[in-house]
Amino acid sequence: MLTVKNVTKKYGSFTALEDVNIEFGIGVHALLAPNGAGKTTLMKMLTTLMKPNAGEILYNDENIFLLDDKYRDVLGYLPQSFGFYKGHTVRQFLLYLAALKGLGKKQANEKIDELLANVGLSDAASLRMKKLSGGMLQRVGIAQALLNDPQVLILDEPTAGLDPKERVRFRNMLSELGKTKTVILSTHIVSDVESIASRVILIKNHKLLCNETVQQLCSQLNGKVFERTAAVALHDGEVFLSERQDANGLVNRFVSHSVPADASPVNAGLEDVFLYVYGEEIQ
Amino acid sequence: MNYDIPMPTAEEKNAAVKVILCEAMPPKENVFSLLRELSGVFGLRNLFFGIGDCVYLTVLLTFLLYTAVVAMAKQVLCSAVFTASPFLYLAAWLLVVWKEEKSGMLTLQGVCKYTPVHVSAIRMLCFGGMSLLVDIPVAAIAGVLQAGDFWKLLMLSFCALFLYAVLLLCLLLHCKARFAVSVLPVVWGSLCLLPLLKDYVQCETFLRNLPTYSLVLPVIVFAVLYFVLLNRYVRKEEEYADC
Ligand SMILES: Nc1ncnc2c1ncn2[C@@H]1O[C@H](COP(=O)(O)OP(=O)(O)OP(=O)(O)O)[C@@H](O)[C@H]1O
Ligand SMILES: [Mg+2]
Repeated sequence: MLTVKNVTKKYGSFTALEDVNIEFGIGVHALLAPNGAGKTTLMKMLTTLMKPNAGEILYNDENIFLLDDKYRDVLGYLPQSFGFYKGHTVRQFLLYLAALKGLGKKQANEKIDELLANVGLSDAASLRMKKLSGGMLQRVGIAQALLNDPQVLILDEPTAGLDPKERVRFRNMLSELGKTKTVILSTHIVSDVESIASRVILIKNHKLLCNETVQQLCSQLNGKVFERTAAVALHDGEVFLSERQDANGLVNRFVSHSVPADASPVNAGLEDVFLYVYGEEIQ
Repeated sequence: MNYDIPMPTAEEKNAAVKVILCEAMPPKENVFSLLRELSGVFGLRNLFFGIGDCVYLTVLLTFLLYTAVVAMAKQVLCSAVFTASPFLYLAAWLLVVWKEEKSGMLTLQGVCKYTPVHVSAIRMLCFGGMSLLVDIPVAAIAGVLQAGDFWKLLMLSFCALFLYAVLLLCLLLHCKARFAVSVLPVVWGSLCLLPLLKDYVQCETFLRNLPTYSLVLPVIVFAVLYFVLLNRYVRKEEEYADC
């Protein structure tokens, strides 16, 4: 169990996160928030790369900064972006990180074969890092995060750059990992987490807004989401969410607290919640 | 009688074993236990991963510099040996830190069991050892070519090397690596070259007249300090967030 207790992080006088409290148990936890909300900041603290200005982070009731290498030994992390030495091959890169994680060479080679197969890169083991495409690089990043069989897996925008097939493969992998491990991932792509997240964490105005299941979040908008042709302007009190094209033209999707006569109700999804909560920020 | 004792599940058992192993593992209290631990999994290839070119360039530059020192420094042999002997250590650190920061890999390395601080500590031992090894033939060749006193030159170079290494560790303990490795060469250069430029005859005479045995104590003191500070450095908590 990873516990964030009254954590505040400031960059100079700017407060990036204020008094955040979260408990991460076994399962997939999705940090869903727009750009600049503080997702990466929180993840850097969860990985000991950065210390909070106030509050503490506990792993099984012990401070992660005091646990030091014992905590890092059970940690896997994919940063939002990472560097590498361009001339090394994928295997050399992974072998080096495996050694830093304390794996022996034989064990590391076996694990690397297994992980490269899992991320669909078995044929790329001897390719030089500089020759990888963005998506391939991201998959190598995912593989390196899993080298030490981490109990706590932290992934900062892991699906960025992945094609639809790889996204599905990755989603299945996460869903499997989430059965026994604490998986924390940040994203702004709702469809990545809607089907697999056991909890969704929303951050707004640098504070924790909520930490609930997808069902709990969606139920708050149940019966309040409607669709109507875009030819009719939104009425007072209706909050615009999104628009889509169907056979009859553009259709508006919106939230209304009363039932409009000229619109049809639809089921609320996580994307509706995201757009409703962050509407003004995104626009 | 009911002997149905509840047995732990496989998962609970594994968790308990992990806790016991964790508790039983000795902390990395000094650089030598770290060295022992790392030598099992690490090897030279990983120790110099990505920085082979820096080491190569350092060795090449050191060779050129020492050749110049030995060939030309008849008038200021002692001062030149003192000033130049930390060069391998200095150049190696400058190039390695610069390259590692540029690689952008520090965020990945910083969340591993063995962090860049641990690896740096072991590299320090390596570069220190390499520097000591280089200093011996340099002192010998200088002794022969320029009619210098081998032991005096050797003690002077060891003294300078350990002093430089101690100063670097002092800085590394209190500030970011990139600052430490860039500032110290400038400080070292100024401290050594300014007195030389002002009155090189007096500097050289002072070093030449120092009895060799009087240099043994500073060498020992700086060497002990070096290991004390290295042990402290191994336990340093570094933030790699902005690397
Ligand atoms: N090193 C830094 N110095 C100053 N401000 C920073 C620094 N890093 C982040 N910030 C600020 O802190 C806030 C949170 O940044 P963070 O990177 O955590 O957001 P994020 O949710 O990960 O965004 P994104 O979705 O774009 O990755 C932003 O306003 C950002 O400008
Ligand atoms: Mg981010």
